This record gives sequence, C-alpha cells and structure tokens, in this order.
Amino acid sequence: MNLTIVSFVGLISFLSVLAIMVFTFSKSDENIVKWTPFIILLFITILASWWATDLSLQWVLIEATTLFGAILISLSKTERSIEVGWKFLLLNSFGLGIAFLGIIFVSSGTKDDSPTTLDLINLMPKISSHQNLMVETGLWLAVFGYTAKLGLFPNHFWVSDTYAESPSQVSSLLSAFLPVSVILAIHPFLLLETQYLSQHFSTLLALMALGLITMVYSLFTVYHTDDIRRITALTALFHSGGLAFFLCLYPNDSMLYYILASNITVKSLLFSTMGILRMDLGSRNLSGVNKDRGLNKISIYIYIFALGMAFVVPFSPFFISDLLILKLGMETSKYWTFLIPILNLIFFVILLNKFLPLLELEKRDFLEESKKVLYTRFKITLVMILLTTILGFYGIFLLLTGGFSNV
Amino acid sequence: MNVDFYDLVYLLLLLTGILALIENRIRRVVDLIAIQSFLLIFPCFQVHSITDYHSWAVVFLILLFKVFLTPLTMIWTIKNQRMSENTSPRFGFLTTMFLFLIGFSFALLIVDNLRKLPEAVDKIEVIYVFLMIYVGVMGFILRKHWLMLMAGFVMFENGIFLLTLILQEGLPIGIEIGAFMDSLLVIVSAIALQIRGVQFKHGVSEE
Repeated sequence: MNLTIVSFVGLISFLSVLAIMVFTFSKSDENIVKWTPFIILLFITILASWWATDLSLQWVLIEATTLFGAILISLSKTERSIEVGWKFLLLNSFGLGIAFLGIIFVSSGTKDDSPTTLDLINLMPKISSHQNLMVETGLWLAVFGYTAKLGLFPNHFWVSDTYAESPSQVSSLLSAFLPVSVILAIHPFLLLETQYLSQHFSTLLALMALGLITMVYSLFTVYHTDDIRRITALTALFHSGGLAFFLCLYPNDSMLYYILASNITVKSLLFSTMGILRMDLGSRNLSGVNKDRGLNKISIYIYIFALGMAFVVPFSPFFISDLLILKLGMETSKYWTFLIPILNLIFFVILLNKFLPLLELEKRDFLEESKKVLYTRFKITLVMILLTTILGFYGIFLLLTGGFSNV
Repeated sequence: MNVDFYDLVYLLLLLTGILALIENRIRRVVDLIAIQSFLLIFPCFQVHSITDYHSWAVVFLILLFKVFLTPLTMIWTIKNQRMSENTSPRFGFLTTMFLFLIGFSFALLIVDNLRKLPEAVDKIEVIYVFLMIYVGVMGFILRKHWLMLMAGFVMFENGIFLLTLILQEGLPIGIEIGAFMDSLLVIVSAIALQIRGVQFKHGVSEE
C-alpha cells in the first residue's frame, strides 16, 4: 500500500461524490454546476497536500482547504449553515495558525549553519543534536494545532455541526479527505519526537489522549442523539479520534496508507447512504419519522451496511484496521489497545439499537417526487460499496501475505 | 542606534495591535490593521540585507496583500453591508488587561528559553512579537462582531509572519506567497459567508 494507491482510491471516491452532487443535489436550490470548479479545486488542493513533503507548503495547502470548505458548507443555504461555516472557518484557521507557529518553532530550534528545507528528511537528523525546549514546544504546538483541523477534543465543536448542517456530499468530502491531509501532516512531527530524548511532556501521549477522549465523547453523545445527520457526523468524529490513536502506535507506511484509504472509502459511503436514507425517511429525526409514510428497504439496508463497514463487517477496511491496532498493541505490549475494538463494538451496538426499528416500517418503492434522484444516488453509491469491499478484501490479502510488513 | 529604531518599530507594532483590540469603531480598527501591516516592512530589512532580492519581494507581498488588499476588502464589506460603525466587546477593559498580563508572563517565560536569535534581533523584540500574536488570539476571545474577529485573525497572522521572519529568517518565496494569499482568502471566505448569510436568511432545505 502506498500513497499512489491512496490517491487513486481518493480520486474514484471523489468522482463518485461529485457525480452525486452534480446529478442529484437537493439540499437547496443552488446551481451546483457553477460550483463544480470550486469543488474540483478543493480536491486538487487536498491531493497536493498529501504529496507535499515540505511542512510549510503542506500547511499552506491545508489552510487553503479551510477556505474552500467554509464556503461549501453554506451551499445548504440556511442561516444555520452560515453559523456553522463561521465556526469551521474560525476554529480551523486558529488551529492552523498554532500549527504554523509550531512548524516555525521546530524549524528555528533545529537551525544550524547548514542550509535546510522544512521536510522530515532534513529535520530528522538534526533533532538529536538540538534537544531544546523550543523544539519540544514546537512539536506540541504543531500537533495540537493540526488536531483542531482533525476535530479532536477540545476543538471538536465544529465537527458534528459541520457534517450535520452541510449537504451530505460536502460532508462526504470534508470527512473523508481532510483527516487524511491532517494525519499526513501530523505524522512527521510524531516521527521527529522519536528522536527527542529529554521530554518534559510527550506529544505522542497527548495526541493519544485527545484521540481517546474524542472517541469516548462521540460515544456518549451519539447515545443521546436522535438526528440521523448528527449520528453520522458523530460516527465520523469517532473515527477521526480512532485515526489519531492509530497514528500514535507508529504504524509503518503500508498500514498508515491502508487506514487512510479506509477512511476515504468508508466515510464517503457513510454520508452518501445517509443522504439516501434521510431523503427517503422524510425526517432527519428518528423520533419524527412518520410510520405511515413507509420506507424503501434499500435505503435502510445500505445505510446499515455502511455502518457495518465502518465497524464490524469482517471484510470491511475498518475491521482490518482494528486487527492492525490489536497486532501493533500486542507487539509493543500495549494490551489496553483492546479497548479500541471494544469501543467500536459499543458504538455499533448503539447505532443498531437506533436504526433497526426502521426495518419494521412498511416496505415501499421510493416516493415518486424523489424516485429519480434516489435511484441515481443508489446506483452511484454502488460504486462506493464496491470500492470499499475491494479495499477490505485487499486488506485481508495484505494481512495474510505479510503485506503489512511489520505485523 | 540601529537597534533602537527597530525596538521602536516592534513597540509600535504591538501598540497598534492593542489599540485595535480596545477600539470599538470598525473603520478605525481597519486603519490600525493597515498601519500595523505597513510597519511589518521594517523588520524585513533588519533580518535581510537591503540589497537582497528576497527582502524586496517580501516588502512587495506585504504591501500588496496586507497593506492594500486586506484592508480594502474589509472597507468594501463595511460599505457593502452598510455596517454600523460602533461595536461592543464581549468583556470589559479590566478582563482584557488581566488576560494581557497573563500573556505577558508567558511571553517572558518563552523568550527566556530562546537560544539562538539572529544577531540583529533583541529579546525584547521577540517578547513584543509574542504579545502581538497573543493580542490577535485575544481578539478571538474578546470581540463579538464578525469583522472584529477577522481583525483579530489578521493581527494573529501578522504576529506569526513576524515571528517566522525573526526565527526562520523568512521562508522560500513560493511558500510566503501561499501564506499571504491564504490569510487574504480567509478574509474573503468570511465576507462571502457573511454576504450569503444575509441573502438567504430564511432559506429552507429539502434534504
């Protein structure tokens, strides 16, 4: 597994989401075609940030995604979406400002007479001879700043609002692709920290704690949530916490890229299926569902399937990722990593408890007014299902053949 | 003598930030932002030589993005949105001063741990820069009006730019252009969001 494959998986997922957006956008009366170049530009910026090796250039590209994201959120054309767009813009810009400060601290703290560029290969050998508080503070500021963009505690407030109030396709894009950029940005700093000997505080442990707190927060919040969009948003937030936790176990490149590809496919699928279910149900609150309205079973089956792929289905990419966490935990004698699959299971059971009653609704075809839109969405979503399944089986193949080399 | 001049510039940079933080008239805050941005030009020549191509490129970027485009965009918005001139802060002067003193203590602590600075740069100047960043952060906390929040963001960005200049002696020009463009686009995004918000205040959604 490498970054080329992740980019390819990203491209297919992006095209699927874009197709849904262009052909079936229904969140508002916005002319979505005129926004297409803007959305493509967002994807290109995200993709460029994955490949950028210079830490400051990577930061510039990630900051640029914030600007595009904030405007896209407002495609919902509601007052609430504007507030959420503002929250997204301010919290992310602020977090990224702190991250930039951290990058400069690290760069300055490791400065010597030789010319240097701000990339991992250049900075790595310098850390051992530059053990100072400035570098240490820089590492922490960079990681903490970026966690705001990832949506980790205590900067998690924008996540569920943003994913819940944006059009589902925008939520797909933001939740699937942005965490990949951020994880790839944080990764070099954690590697730099391995060379740092005299620590006052550990960036790694702090990130792990933030990831875990975010997961537990999502778990408790989802239990009390009735809104389908918000439930899906909290599922995405839970996985962002999981991603941070996974990163702290120092996975090799193959494992890291695999879990990033998993994040792209599963979250795109999750929000796309949520969009179908939401429209077919006619209500975003589970308690507000009109039982006489009935439901096309396709919409609930694919959503539950997507939830399964996000947690427990044995051939799902996230299930493989759980196995990788357990393996890494056992290899490093961190047996408490068993906690992660258990949290996953609890989260999944809560979700099942919320959505299984929908299976009792009377079976019907999609309603006439939304039939064309929903069937088109369903057909495009099949591509995502296929992609996610292929990635899952590819993970099993890698696991069995030693493709994740240090497992 | 040279060092004294730069001390004055750094002090003025901080003071314009403080004035912008406690000023309640929007237009005046934009003017202060423009002045602060203009003052950023001088430290470029403290770190780089006056004959250096890079320093003139940075001066051009500061003038274009920070001194002209950012304030002009904000002024255009004030006129376009027919904004009320007066705003009120979230907290009073006493809270502001208390928060400032906390930041001042932290700035002293951090600067005390700094090992290597460019020869021309004095520690007191670094304290001013840290406080400038902090004043920007305080803008986020203490102000309510959205344009004042953006003014806080601009001050925060100005401080980070200056710190980058001092500690890193500047970044490659391509990345500097990107960073300047980004900070302007944050303002543009904010304005676009605000204008769209006014346009569909009572919008409904199907999905």
